[in-house]
Amino acid sequence: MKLITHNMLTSHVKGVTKGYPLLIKATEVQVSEVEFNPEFLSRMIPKLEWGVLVQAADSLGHLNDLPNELAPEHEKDEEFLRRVHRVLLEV
Amino acid sequence: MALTAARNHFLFFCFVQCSVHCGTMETCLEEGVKLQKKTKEEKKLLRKQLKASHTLLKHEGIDTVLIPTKSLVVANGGLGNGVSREQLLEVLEQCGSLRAVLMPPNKPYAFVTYQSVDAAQLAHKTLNGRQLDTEHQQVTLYLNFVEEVGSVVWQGQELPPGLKVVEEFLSPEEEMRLLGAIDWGSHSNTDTAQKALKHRQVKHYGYEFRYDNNNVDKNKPLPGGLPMFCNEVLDRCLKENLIKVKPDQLTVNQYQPGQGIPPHIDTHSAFEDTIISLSLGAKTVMDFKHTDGRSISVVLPARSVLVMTGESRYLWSHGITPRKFDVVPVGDAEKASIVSGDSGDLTLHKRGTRTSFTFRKVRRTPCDCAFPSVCDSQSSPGDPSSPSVPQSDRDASCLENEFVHKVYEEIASHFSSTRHSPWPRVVDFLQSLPTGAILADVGCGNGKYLGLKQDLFAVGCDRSRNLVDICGERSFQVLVSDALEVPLRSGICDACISIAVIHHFSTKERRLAAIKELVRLLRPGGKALIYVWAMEQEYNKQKSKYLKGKKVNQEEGSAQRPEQTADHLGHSTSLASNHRPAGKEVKDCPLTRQNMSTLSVHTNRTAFHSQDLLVPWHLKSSAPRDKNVGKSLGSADICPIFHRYYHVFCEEELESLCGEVENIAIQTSYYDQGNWCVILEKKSE
Ligand SMILES: C[S@@+](CC[C@H](N)C(=O)[O-])C[C@H]1O[C@@H](n2cnc3c(N)ncnc32)[C@H](O)[C@@H]1O
Ligand SMILES: [Zn+2]
Repeated sequence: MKLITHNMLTSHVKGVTKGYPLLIKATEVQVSEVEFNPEFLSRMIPKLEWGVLVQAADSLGHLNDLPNELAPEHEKDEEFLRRVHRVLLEV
Repeated sequence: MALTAARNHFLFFCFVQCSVHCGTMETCLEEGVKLQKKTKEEKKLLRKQLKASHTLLKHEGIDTVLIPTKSLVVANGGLGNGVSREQLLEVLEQCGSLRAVLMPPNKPYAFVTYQSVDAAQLAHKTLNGRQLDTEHQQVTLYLNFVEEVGSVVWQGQELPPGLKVVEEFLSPEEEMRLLGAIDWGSHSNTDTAQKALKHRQVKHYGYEFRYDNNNVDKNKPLPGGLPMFCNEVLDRCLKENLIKVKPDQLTVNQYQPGQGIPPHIDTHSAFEDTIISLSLGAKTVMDFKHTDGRSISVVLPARSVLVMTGESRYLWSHGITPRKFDVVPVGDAEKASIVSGDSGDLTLHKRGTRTSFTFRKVRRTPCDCAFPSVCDSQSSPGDPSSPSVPQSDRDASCLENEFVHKVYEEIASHFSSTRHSPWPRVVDFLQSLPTGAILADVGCGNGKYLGLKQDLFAVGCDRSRNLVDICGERSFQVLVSDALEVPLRSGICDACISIAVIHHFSTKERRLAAIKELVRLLRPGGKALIYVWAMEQEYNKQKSKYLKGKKVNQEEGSAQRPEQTADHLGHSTSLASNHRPAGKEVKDCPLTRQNMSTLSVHTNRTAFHSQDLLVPWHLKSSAPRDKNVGKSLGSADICPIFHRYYHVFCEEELESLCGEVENIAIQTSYYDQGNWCVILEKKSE
């Protein structure tokens, strides 16, 4: 599962009040390349739970230098978008 | 005995050797036989031998099948080969738990039924070619799948309440006379009504029994009444108190070996309590099934009379499994008996032509039996139009589990192979979404909409693990989940689609809940596209592709072959009230099973007659079809049939359901090739 998907997940299990985020138990971590689309990314980033992404990426050892806080005007920073791209879509 | 045994084995072995040389079986490729650590030559030899054993078994009248079942015939593993029961059990048990092992006396083969298909497959894989040492020689076992030969077992050695079998009720002379009185040749007799049903011959006297509604035309008696030749027998039935009133309807059925009748309960409102049936010519095994899953198989010997009253008449279904052999207790041919489990004293009985005379009394008043759950006279007085719809949520999810989820799980790969082309207007909707949009496809099936637009983030979910796995292989982002509880955060989706999913929910509450769940996922301003199958398959004078039977198909059935659509077991079109579909058993779901008795089975590619129905799916296995195998089995055995539950929507129904959802507006609604469709927009708060 990609981390973007993980970012959208929540749990419905009855009695779980805080169903989000889900802990990751990875059996295998794969990286596969996907075409880079900066427009897609800059639109997606505001919809993400940023903290959750950072935490998840870190737990898999693929933090890729993502900052804890989103910088203003980050959508203009292609270098940054490429790093998000990798974490979000390729891990 | 030792001599016979040796000879049998020798014969068998001989045959195997021959065909290896004459090489006529080149085409055989036994599916799934993986023989570890064998050389190419050895494998080839074994394959040929397997094939030869097929052919030999055919000579014995045993049909093998390619599709794995729970039952196998073990060639060379029979008592006739000198293999003992203990010896065989020891080998067979290595592959899983056994349900029954049957060793017909003197035969060079045995039958085994495992608890699961998996175990049988394992045995097929690992025991083929296994050598056993018997007292006299070494034998090589060859295993092939067969249709289940054994009967289901009911431990308590009791007949269903109200059931009686009177042996030797008819003298051989009477039997001959009755058989001789039926003229199957002439079709022109106006006093009777004769039909050649797909799987048996039938004649009616007194009143015609109609298979379209499973009832009789009470105001249209057939001219001749009951024939004179029945009088003597009926008088004796009255005298011996088997019946209280003289019947006025007679159905004569003739079954050839391999033919049967689907399990059914005679429609309550059509006939009075007691039903009697004479067996002539040959014995058979009749299966009685209770709604709770209990099953009792009863041997009906020739010249016996079967009497069904009370619970056995009203609550238990009865039927005859179409097959050529029955498993019966060894011994007296004239004895009625219950066929039970894995005792050593069972044998195979080859069926002969059996003729039954079933006498019934047409009912003039509504049925007031004690079994309202299966009674068409007493069902749901409040809502006569939909007696079949489950009443409780638990019932509903039981029904969906059996007749939606389990079915998709079973048919997943065949289903997926029929779902390539995306529907154009769904594609239009997806194309209209902007870059970076988040899309959820709830009930995504094989994921045919997930990869359509690259600049979206699409995530799919489906209840069927097998379908989700197929999506996974295509590297889509997918989750196994129920459409009522999608594990995605609220408000994250720019769009949701639900294509041909909501019609699988069996109550209005659940269909509504499914729509609300889509709306929960949407952000304000987000849109949901919903497709459901329409009751109206003809709209604005246009027949849908489904009705026209085109290859490319909007909804279900592109894989269905129209010529096959009538129920394979012998009912002409539908299973009306009190006839439950054969084939699919509902185990831990007694409530559902009762409800099932009133859901009708749809005939593919015809107009719908009711909104809640079961739609057959003819499963085609991916295994290559061997022309030699199963020729005599008929298509039904090669293509198992599954029934999917549907609620087809009437015009406006989808819109009015959406009208009950808060915070949305219906943007458009339309009819698209046999489906009702809406696009909803979630309002901004
Ligand atoms: C007719 S198929 C349609 C599949 C796909 N949307 C398409 O258009 O090809 C119906 C699908 O709904 C799924 N389904 C049925 N009931 C469901 C439920 N309660 N939750 C999730 N999926 C369900 C089935 O497993 C099946 O894949
Ligand atoms: Zn009744």
